[in-house]
Amino acid sequence: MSRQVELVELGLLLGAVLLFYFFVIPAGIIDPDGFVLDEGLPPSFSARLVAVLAGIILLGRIGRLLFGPLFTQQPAAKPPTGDTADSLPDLADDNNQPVHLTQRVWVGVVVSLLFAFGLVPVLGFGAASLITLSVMLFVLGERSLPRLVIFPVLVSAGVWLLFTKILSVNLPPGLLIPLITGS
Amino acid sequence: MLIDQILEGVALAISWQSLLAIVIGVAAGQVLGAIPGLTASMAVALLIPYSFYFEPWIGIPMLLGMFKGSLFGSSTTAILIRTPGTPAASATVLDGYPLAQQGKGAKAIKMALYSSVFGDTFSDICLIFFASLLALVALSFGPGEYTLLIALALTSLGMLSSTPAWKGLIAMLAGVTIGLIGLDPMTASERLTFGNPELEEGIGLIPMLIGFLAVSEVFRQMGGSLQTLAGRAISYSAKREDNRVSWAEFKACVPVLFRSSGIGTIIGAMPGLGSTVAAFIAYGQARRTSKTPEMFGKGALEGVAAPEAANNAVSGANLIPLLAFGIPGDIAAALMLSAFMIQGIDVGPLAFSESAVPLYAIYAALLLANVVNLVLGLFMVHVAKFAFSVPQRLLLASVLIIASAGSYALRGSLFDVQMVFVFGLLGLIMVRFGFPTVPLLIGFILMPILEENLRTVLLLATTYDAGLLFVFQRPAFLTMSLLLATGIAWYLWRRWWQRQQQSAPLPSPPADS
Repeated sequence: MSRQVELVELGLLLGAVLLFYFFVIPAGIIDPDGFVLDEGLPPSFSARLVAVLAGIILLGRIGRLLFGPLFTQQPAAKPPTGDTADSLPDLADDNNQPVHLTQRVWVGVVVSLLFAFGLVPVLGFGAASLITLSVMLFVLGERSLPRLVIFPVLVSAGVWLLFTKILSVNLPPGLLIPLITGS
Repeated sequence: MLIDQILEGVALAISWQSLLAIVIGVAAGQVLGAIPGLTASMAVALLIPYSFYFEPWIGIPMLLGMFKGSLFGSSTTAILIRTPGTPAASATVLDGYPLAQQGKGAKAIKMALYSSVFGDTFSDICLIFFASLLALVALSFGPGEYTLLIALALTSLGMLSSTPAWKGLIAMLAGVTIGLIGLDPMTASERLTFGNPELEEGIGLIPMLIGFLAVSEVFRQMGGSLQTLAGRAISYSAKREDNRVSWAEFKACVPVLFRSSGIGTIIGAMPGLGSTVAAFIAYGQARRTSKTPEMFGKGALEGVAAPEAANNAVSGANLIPLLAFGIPGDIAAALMLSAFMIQGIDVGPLAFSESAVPLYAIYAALLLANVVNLVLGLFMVHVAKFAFSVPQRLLLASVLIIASAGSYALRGSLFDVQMVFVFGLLGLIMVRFGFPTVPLLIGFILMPILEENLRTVLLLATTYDAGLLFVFQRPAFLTMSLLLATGIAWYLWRRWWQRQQQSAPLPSPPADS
């Protein structure tokens, strides 16, 4: 990552931290009136501490990027992969697998959010999972009609059987089915 | 007299009824544990009503077998599809999943199995022989010691988990912030809920884990080519050595297994920490002491062995305060306490004078359950290989549905299902910008324990003349502080030494490189 990009990232995060400290904490955590330190720490203490720590880390990094080269000696060499004994690559970047935010990814995200926020509350888990699985398989390139129909039915029925019948966990029924059946 | 009681207990444990109960418990645990969202405690809770139909030496080993089985079962999905079945297997994802991506999924699962059985056996032996001693040590830990332990774990894990380190620390603080949402533990006033009643209980751990680990990975893999999506979800190397753990590989992991099992046993004996915390602390410790720390996160067998040995060691150790003093250390131990009570078995200091034979039978059954876990686990490796050999697109779509059902199961909340996908999207964005997701989860998991203990310490300090310095009057705190100071000094020395090495002139590279 270039120095400029990292500085922009740090600046944005610092802005978010300031927003959190000065606006979100006062709006979201109201310390009880008359709270004294003998009763322990106020409810907002931990949030403020987190924000201050984040601010220090970000400012420290910004300072190092801006002024570090003036005071520190450049190391003689760096491992070509960027990994040192004290660094660990992020999980999702393992094996050099980059994150490709293609159109398919965004369609998949939208379908998933629709499933959770729209279909399950209305149609119930069973019907919603059936529809979502078919759509998701189509988005992922499946074009065989039997697979688009049979696989979602099998998975939805399997999940329903496992959770409802074996584990006694009633999955969300939704609004529509109780209205239709009158139960 | 004592020998007679022990022999009678062992005879009960090796009866066919008891063995069958253990086999059923372990098998059910391995299957249920592999389902995202079903925790080991939930699996035990599901089985408790059935255990009451049996004698104590049949019903209780069945529950213990289920607990052990579910901890191993959860690691299979953590390794193969980056979806930990239970939170305890979250740390196993770190090196298990990279191994699976290299075609070494079977090797990773077998290492997880051997480590689980090792950790289980280690802690069971500690339970049998040193329960009272360990319980005394564990109970000498107060809020000051807990605060120090968790603060140390947070900073070391946060710094070790990312390139560059600041991104790991910021991710960890983001996790801490998410953990703040809900009711304040001391004053019960709302924090960051903004009037939403769903947020009053706080954000659930299961939606966090499934969202940030599994769903974000599903979203990421959707960006692959259509050819990749039509191919097998998990491919296995054809080489024999990639599908088994050789004796040399296992031997190399033995020191890690002993250390991690020790960590799991001590943490398991301490009330309120649990197997997830043990797994992460053991992982961080294994990485720090490894001869090849650069391999961690890329598929190190030690990185699978450490968290698996530690999280399973908790299962035996959390019975230590229960059997020694009648104090349940966590939810699983509380469930076991209820099972003991309904079966009419006394726990606590008088347990062995009043219920000696059933307790010896349970001890023997614990060890037998480890053997059963090993045998059934080896069979489970083949089942898992078959189950995850479907085309990738079928697996990705199914994971989304099964994970959302699992996240609903624990609290029966539709909000949790919605959060799974919100966190999945956040995880995807974080990974896109190079922020690791695991430190965020570590921050989220450890924050409530840290905050509660820190605030208790500060509250206690107001009652002492010495103020905050009262913690140094406690031998356990003093010992831990000395260990911490030694660790920091060693770390600083190592950094200095590495810099000296780096600043030394390098030999010229070969002309063709």
